[in-house]
Amino acid sequence: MNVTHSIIVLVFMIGLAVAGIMISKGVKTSSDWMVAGHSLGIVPLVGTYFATIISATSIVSYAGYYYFNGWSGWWNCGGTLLTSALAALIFAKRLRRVSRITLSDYIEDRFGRPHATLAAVIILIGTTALTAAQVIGGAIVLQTVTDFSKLACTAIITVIFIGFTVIGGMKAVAWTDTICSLIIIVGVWIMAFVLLGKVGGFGAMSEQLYELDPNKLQPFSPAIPPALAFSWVVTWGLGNFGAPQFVTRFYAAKNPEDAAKSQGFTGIALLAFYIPLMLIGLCGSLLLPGIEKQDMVNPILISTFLHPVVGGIMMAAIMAACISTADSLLLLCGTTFTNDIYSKYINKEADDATILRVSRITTLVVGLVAVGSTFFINDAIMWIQARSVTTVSSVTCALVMVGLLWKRANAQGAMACMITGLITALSWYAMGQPFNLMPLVPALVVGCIALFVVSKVTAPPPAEKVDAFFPPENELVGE
Amino acid sequence: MGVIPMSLVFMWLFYAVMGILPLLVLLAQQRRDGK
Repeated sequence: MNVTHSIIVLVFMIGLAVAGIMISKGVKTSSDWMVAGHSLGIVPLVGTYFATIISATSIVSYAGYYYFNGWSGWWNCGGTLLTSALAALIFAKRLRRVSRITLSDYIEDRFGRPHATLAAVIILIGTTALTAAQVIGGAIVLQTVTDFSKLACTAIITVIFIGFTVIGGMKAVAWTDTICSLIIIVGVWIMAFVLLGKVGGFGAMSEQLYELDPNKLQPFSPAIPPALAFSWVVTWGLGNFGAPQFVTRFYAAKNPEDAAKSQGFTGIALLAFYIPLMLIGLCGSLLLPGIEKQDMVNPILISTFLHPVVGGIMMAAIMAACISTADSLLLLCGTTFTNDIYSKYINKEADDATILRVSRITTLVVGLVAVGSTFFINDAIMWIQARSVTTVSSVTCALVMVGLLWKRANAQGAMACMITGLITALSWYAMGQPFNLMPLVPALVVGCIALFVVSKVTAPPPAEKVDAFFPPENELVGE
Repeated sequence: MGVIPMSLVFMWLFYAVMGILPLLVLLAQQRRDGK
């Protein structure tokens, strides 16, 4: 245990909780809680999107990945950049034209309620497991830093991130995520500069890497050939459009223009994160060769080369990444249950105060279930969470992209797409992922074919299902 | 620095375009529309 690291991380976590609760004061309605009253500007939108997509795994595991693979490893971030580029130029504005709350809302508006309910159930299962996985990861990081027991670490994380998420909803999550984003970016840049200084600068680093292994300076390597790199970029670049936590953030924007522009700035924020992370991995491979476990690279580099205060900031950055992803997923669980199931099926006449109360109670219960389950069904959680992102996206991402680009896509085609996409993804997992392809790629191909064919052989969708998403041509020119 | 292959430079350019170009396009459109 490093006392300085422990103090910095604990002070950061307490400060974050206090900030979250202070921000929560403005939350009066269910819309405030679920989508910050559709009021978020560019700064919190970039902050919350960035912090949601960057998890503790991104910092800890990816640095190790770059350590082993050099520049060719960088393709694993290509998908996130592609998502933001496409969202900025095409999808964010089109989604935000309608003031709704969740991905299921979009699916209901565009295709129908049965589709939305199927998506909501799959999202709820997958997201609860993902939240639990983030708690497990956060507890491990905190345990490493402080030497507290697993129970104590889990309790600290639970109180902090469940607390401000339940009270403040999207508003608190968005602004605390923005604080976390700053900590993450500052942390990785400081660490990158320290390590770069130790190897003699960028030029010296490149020359030493060339002498060590020229493949580390190649955009592709034997371990990461072009086909695999392309598969990653497509999988995550398109698959993220089916991730409900991102769609909700477009709806939280105060207008369609800010939704699009925030994605433009997110591209730059992602570069500002992945560049220093790559430098950390590359410098680490020169300064301390021989580390065998990918996940241990970053922690060992922090403890070996960084001043305790700088190391503490970096550990706080890892914790920030963990909490900011966990709070967004937890918020999504509460929002999905209340908005997509409770108010549509259980209590259709619920007033706003009731919906707000149920949202908070649901979030608290789901949060406690997620945390509690980490003590009993750890393996099952990790099994589900490893598949949940792909599985949810295989059901939803084609509906988002094709639904916003092709007027002729209809409800029958969408249902065929969801079912075939889900079956293909699960079958691909069962077959052991042939050809090294991630399941989302075949699921997306099969789903899109089903969507196209079934839509074509059935009646076109009614105009009221389509018009809101496809404004007149003269409005599209400015997009 | 002479050890950096052109293929890696192209990869950097590809990422720079994907990360920065969308914002530049949006800002140019905003300027054109006078918003």
